[in-house]
Amino acid sequence: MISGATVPLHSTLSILARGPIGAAKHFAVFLLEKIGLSYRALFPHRIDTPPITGSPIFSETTDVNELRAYVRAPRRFEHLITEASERYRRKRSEIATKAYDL
Amino acid sequence: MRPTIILATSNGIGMGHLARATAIGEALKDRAHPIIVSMASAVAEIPSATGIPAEYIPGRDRGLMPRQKWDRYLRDRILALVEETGATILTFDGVVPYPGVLAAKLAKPDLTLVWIRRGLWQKKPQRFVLGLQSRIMDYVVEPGDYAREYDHGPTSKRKEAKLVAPVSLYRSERALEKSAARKILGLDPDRPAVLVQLGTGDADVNHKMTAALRGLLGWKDVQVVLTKDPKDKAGNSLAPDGLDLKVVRYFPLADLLHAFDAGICAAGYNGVHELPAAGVPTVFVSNIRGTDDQETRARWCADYGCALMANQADLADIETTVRKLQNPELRKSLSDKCARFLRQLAQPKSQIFFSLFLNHIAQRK
Repeated sequence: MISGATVPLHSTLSILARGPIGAAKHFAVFLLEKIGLSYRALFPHRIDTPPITGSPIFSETTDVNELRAYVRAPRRFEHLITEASERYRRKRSEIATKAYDL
Repeated sequence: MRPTIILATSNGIGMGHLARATAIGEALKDRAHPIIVSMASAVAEIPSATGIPAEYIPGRDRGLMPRQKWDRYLRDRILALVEETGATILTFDGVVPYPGVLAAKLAKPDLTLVWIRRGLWQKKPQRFVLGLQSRIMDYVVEPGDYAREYDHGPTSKRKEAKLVAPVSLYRSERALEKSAARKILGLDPDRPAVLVQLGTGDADVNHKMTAALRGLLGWKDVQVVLTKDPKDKAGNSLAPDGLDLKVVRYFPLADLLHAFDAGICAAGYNGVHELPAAGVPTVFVSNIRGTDDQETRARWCADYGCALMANQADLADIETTVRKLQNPELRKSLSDKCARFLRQLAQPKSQIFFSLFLNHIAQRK
């Protein structure tokens, strides 16, 4: 299990368990995230393409043409380093499922 | 045992972040296992061109998920890769260290976090959180800039950064000589060739591209080489009739710069630390978007006689300044100045420093 990936950012107990400096840093990151979100709400990225949905493609290709095509394609693409372990693939699948609400 | 070091970059404008990560990754190869992760689409070029393992992470601006979810997705991607590879150091090259990067550090406190933060910032809102962001980092390293003496921006007076020499993908001992470089690019060996590296997209940027290309009209037999198709979003050509255009894809193009008799380029970190370093007579046309203070960088080059600077707000001036490149005596003068002032600065000593520094902190862990 990847500990950091499963600890909710806003779990009060987990924050307090980090001690005063850890908690202060956590608060700073929380603050920076909120500042970033507020700034982007005021000045949003211009989106001139329709929203992309659907299941992602997973690939560990290093072929430049294939990779360019995946990166630019109007669909979700999850790139993995070469010779990734089975555990890493599973973890990445979990991360994508959570992020894309699949 | 060689440490694993993850070199992460944001997307940004141009190739600056990714080019620096690649240069540092190349220097690290003998001492560590570098891995590049980036939100820039050009990361596709890295594995096959350099042999450095790489992963693409879709940026928040791609709209693949709600913005609120993206930082957690980024954090989880980083932590998963750290666990998979046993990485002990994460560097981040970008103007704004995303909350997802900082959250990865908080979730794994023994991961050393290094912010590679170039200077020459414009006074944009990002400056207000510089102090807070810097405090969360274990180290802040500033890749030097030729124009540093002109830097009066928000980072110039800060004390936390370790300043190193400029980082550049151009290395004189690795760059191919003119005929070999032209052969790879498919250029005629006997006709003049000009490299144009300007962006396209918004109307004002497109107009600058057209003005620059107009300045090349009348140059006998010139071959114009671009790194992207000079077209607007609707697919209309931005180039005037009468030019011999060629679009090339090669990474790193720094290895082939001796193919060119002249260049027209945005004054980003890459352009200024590659073209003049290679002795290519260049006109810089600043891109004023983002935090990068390209106007100042271009002005430094012009003041020292290493390049020409066009007024980015004046299309007629862009055309006129580019037209000056048709003069062979002026080109020779610019090349000579570059050789005198800059060439030695672009040697890979900075990359080696980075490599030693990162290796050093990895061994201390």
